[in-house]
Amino acid sequence: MSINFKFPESVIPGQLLCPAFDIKEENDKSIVYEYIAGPGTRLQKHNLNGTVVNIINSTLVGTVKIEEDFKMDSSNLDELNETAEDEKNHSNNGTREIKKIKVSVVHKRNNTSSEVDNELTNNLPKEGDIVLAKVTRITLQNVSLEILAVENSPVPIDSGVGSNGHGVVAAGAGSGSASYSVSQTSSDFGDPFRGTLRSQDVRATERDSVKIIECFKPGDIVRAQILSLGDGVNYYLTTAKDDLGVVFAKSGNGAGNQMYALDWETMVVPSTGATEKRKCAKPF
Amino acid sequence: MTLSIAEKSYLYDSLTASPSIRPDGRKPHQFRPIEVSTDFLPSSNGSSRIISGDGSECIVSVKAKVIDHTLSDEELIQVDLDIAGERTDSPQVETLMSLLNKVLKSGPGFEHSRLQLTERYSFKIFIDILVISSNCNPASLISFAMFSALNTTTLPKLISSFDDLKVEELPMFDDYDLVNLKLKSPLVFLLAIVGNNLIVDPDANESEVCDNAIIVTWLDGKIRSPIRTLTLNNSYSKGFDPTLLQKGLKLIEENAAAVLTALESS
Amino acid sequence: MNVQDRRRLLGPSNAKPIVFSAATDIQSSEPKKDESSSFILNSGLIENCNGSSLVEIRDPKVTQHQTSLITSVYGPRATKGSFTSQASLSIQLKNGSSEKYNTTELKEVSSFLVNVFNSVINLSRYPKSGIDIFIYILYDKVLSEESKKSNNISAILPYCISAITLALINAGIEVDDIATAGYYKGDVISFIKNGEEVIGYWKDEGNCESFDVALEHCKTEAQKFKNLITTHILEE
Repeated sequence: MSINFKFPESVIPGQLLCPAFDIKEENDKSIVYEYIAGPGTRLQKHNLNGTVVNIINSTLVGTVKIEEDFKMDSSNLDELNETAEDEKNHSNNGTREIKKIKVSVVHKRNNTSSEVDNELTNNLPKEGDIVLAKVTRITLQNVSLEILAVENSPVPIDSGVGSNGHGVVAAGAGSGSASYSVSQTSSDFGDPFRGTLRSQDVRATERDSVKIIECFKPGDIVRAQILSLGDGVNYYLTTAKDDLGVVFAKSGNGAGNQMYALDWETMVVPSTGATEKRKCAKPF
Repeated sequence: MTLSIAEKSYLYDSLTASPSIRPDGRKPHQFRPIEVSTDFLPSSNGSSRIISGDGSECIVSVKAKVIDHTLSDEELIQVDLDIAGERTDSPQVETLMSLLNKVLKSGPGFEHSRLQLTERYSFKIFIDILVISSNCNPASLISFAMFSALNTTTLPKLISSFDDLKVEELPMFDDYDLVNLKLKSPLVFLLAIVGNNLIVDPDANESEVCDNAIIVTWLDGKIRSPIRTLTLNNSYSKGFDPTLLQKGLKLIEENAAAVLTALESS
Repeated sequence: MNVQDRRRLLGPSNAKPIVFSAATDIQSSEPKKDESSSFILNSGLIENCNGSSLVEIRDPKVTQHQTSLITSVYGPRATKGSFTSQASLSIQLKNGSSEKYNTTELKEVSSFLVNVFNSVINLSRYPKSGIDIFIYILYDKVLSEESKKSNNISAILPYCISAITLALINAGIEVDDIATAGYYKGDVISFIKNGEEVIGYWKDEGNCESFDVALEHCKTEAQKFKNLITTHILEE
């Protein structure tokens, strides 16, 4: 099976990639290709010779990536199946196949670094993404975190400046300094995306008897999943999975040595043998 | 009041229909009713208050000062704008103020030389605008209010001689008599673009869904600068067909005179 | 006190993580010039922002201005306040040492540029975030005697638009198309989609009699800028 559409290899913003639908005749069977705009692309109406056509165009400089037999959410799929059946009834020969293809553009700069799998061109955390976050504050009900990075995607150069301490924000630059900017108040150390983790979302079992102090301490690095985009300030996070939880912590409130997970709720300092309670992520 | 996504989509579809269907049943070139009252501030040379059908309200006051125009070449009309609830250095206020100052800049058809008193002295006009409440972009409403205020402005009558370059003397004014300034200021129109349709004077809901908008200045039968496009919302803003610009300017040219007559008769 | 000391557990402020740099080629600092050597485009100069560009225009034959603009793009980054389903854009235009334009006018131009780029940037891709763009007018000199009298900012608007477009592309922020603009006798018109769609129109002087002519002129000029930007991107 091959796509009968020739995609350019490297693209620039505004370059037209493909129409929303394409049809191909093969062995008395017509295959309908439905192209879906993924990250780095956008479906837009273009005026071609007086008719308005839906065309996917690139929005980034980079390389085109194509995923065939792309699976959509089940709800969407049902809908599409219905329309497909409708179409089947309408067409006389009844041999029509719909193939969904996701088209996305991978940003050039992200593509060059080889350490991470750059499936996401977009730096922003989305629902369902796994993020690494640092605990900044704990209360009885909540853990406040700063999101450091989205797994499998690189950190934008200017964000997270406050969290990892490096990088220089020039005076008179950044949204904080401009009195009428998008973010009206900000710290002088950049603006990390913030997250909050409720005590009910710490683990999947015995949700009601979670003691935050026995699960997280300020300074811990936590692997968490985004539950929702949350409110204006915080993303809502969860660690209610085996592979989510504390991945990096130091003993004695950050004063001691690095600890390693002993089991899912204990961490140990190898040199002293001291243990502390944490909700650990499964290391493997 | 903000519309839900579904409501916006419905409104957008009805506005892009051919011909466009506006929520309040107006024609594309029809304005909302306004109510103008003038000369109600006793301490200023001219004043007006304008109320739009949707509750937007704006007060304009005109004051004059005698200055020696040989000393500096500053503009003889200066606008100061205050929008209730906005800081004076917010982008909205500054942008609008800069635009209004450009609207009232001296140019062909709108000569500031009419403000000249003698060889040496001129009136400098200070226009203070207070937008008490506004639901959508107030540029058009303000310009109507400025027009009414300037049209009814009365200034003291000069009784000393015009030629005062040789003789050093300050201009003298009559104690009672006032002369009508009758300065016809340019009008500003807001024109929204939705799909392939153009609508004048968009209300708050229409502003929420329009693709783009044009601010057009009109004086004495002609379109003049400044003209700019602006987007009235973030979510629906997109590009438009260049021919719509021409159509829009023509639409204003055809209908502006009627607005002028209405404002003058008030 | 509601201030939290977020740096308490950090190392010294000048501590930097160890970076094992791959043997990357040192980029030649020689700016790339186009055929007429009047436009110099450069991107990625500023290191602590997501994207940046330097646009210099210097040939008196092509344009009446000699201008140099530095643009930096910060973000998308977190915003404070209520939830927004798409990014909010802010653009700040700043005078260089010359202090040529007054701040009210610069603010007006800034909000015009925001209007233009609202229709270009794929804002819905970036919920809860803000994109901040700063343009610094490093140098601006009017060359022709005729336009020297009116201290007009319109003429440098197309350069600003090209500079922002280039910086946004450098930052990897999704844009629908390469937005450019042209200038003709006081009219500035900005286009996308090969001149089929207008995204901005600015006019500060003159009457509106020769709109068709202005449209054509601006379209050709915008196309020229677009070609320059395209070649610049491809060369990188």
